Amino acid sequence: MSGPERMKELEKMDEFERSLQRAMKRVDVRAETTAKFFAIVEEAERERQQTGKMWVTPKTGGKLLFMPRPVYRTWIGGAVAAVLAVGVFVGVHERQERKAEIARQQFETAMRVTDHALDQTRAQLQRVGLNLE
Amino acid sequence: MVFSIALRVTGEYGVAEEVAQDVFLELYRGVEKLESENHIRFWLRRVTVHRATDSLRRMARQPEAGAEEWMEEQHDFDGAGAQLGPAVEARLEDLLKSLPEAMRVAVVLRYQEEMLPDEIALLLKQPVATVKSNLQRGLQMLRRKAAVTMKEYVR
Repeated sequence: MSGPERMKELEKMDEFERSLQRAMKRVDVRAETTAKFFAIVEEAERERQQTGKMWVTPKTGGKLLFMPRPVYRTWIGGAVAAVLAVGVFVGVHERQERKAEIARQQFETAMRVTDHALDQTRAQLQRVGLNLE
Repeated sequence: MVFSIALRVTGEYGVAEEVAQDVFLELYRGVEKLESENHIRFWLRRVTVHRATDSLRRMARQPEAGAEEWMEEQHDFDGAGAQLGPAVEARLEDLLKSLPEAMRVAVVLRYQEEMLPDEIALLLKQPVATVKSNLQRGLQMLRRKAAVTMKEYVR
């Protein structure tokens, strides 16, 4: 929604709608969820490097290979930002070797879309001593 | 965005996490097909809504029953001019969970994502009139439920 258009819409709203809008602020995933997820991502990435297998495969219907244990489900999905950050980075990095310019554009696009999530992700990565660069 | 849509459509934190995970994994696999920031944003919203509504159906806990009764009963909530506090806003989010799926999705996209009805229609592949109707009915139902359940807050 463009600026003027949004303003016009906001002016049309009554107090109830504005309250509803305030009540529906976006919700961030829990920080501890992200932190725990990074440990899993690292593990999966290590496995991928050792075995050469992708950690996301069609066989699992898009699930992480290490996901089935229900005990992890409460926190693993909540760290989807990490999946995006690491996944996009890995994918784009590989493409950069082949088509540097195209990959750079894709990476920047994905990074812009998830800027907030990625900021959190970067912070988490730095905390565990990893660097996306 | 993704997690919030999933959470408000499904009403369950754990389910929303699973939905969000699926969406991002799908994005990871298909990111090269997406051409621009707007394209990715549109794609994320659409896929999230679809995955979340699928999950909601699997949970078989849709609050469809009684929806029409709420539409027919007369409970006026005159929000205009009233100062609604954080407690009321928290209750509104709870009440959102009681809306039927189609209305809930429309309300989430309208008030959380700040999308216009024609944008929602494009996203959901529905006629604009349908989206407007769902928005209007959803909002009306929320007002009526609010009038009944939140009198103590708005007095």
